[in-house]
Amino acid sequence: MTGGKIISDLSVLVVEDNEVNQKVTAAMLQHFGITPDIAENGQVAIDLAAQRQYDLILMDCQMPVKNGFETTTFIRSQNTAHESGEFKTSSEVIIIAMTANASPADVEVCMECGMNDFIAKPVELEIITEILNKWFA
Amino acid sequence: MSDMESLDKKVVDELYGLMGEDYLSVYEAFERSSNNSMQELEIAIEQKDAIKIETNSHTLKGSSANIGANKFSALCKIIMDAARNNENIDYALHYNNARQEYASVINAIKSLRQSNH
Repeated sequence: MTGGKIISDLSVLVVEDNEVNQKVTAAMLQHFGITPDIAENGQVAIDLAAQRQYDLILMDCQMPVKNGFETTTFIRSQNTAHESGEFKTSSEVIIIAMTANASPADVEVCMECGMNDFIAKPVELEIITEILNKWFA
Repeated sequence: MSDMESLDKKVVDELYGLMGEDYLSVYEAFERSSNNSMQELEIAIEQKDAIKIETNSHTLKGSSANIGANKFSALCKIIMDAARNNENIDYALHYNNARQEYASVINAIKSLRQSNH
């Protein structure tokens, strides 16, 4: 549980441009009773995060329009807008990078732009389980 | 080699376990998106456009890994890494290798559809 929420009540946003990856990640979250929202790029993610308070964002890094690093930096900068109610998602939301390149240098870039953690792609159920337990159990 | 060897059974079983019969929708999504990416990759290689080669091979590598097409994913990774690092490899040859494996993956998906898992 987190903040009184059980895992199935978490509001989750999956930011991923590839339809196959969207479906697989969503199916894994649905295993826990979570029906995520899906954003196909970073700009759509920002628009959704402005309208709804998310507990967790799973963020692809390489995407068209706005990549995961830029998107995370933007969400982290929305402190004032969140406090005034203009941006519903907290600037302290848990953001997990989904990256195929999990080298130390890539992980450092994820952390530098404000992501909390990372998971290597392809995403596996075991990894999603670990992440949910690590951050929300 | 039979076509089904182009898909990792463990991944197929996991997707079936998660989604039931709807797991085929993931494979259908792969068929749709990968066909376009393969065409764009071929054009990018003809035009020696390193950025588009990297983008399309990256997309193919990621989505194929998610459906258990591990060999195809590995072949796309070779192309993606070379484009990213500006390596002078024979892209047409590597693309043909990937294209051959891609055909096996598509046949394996057809077999899945017919087999009712």
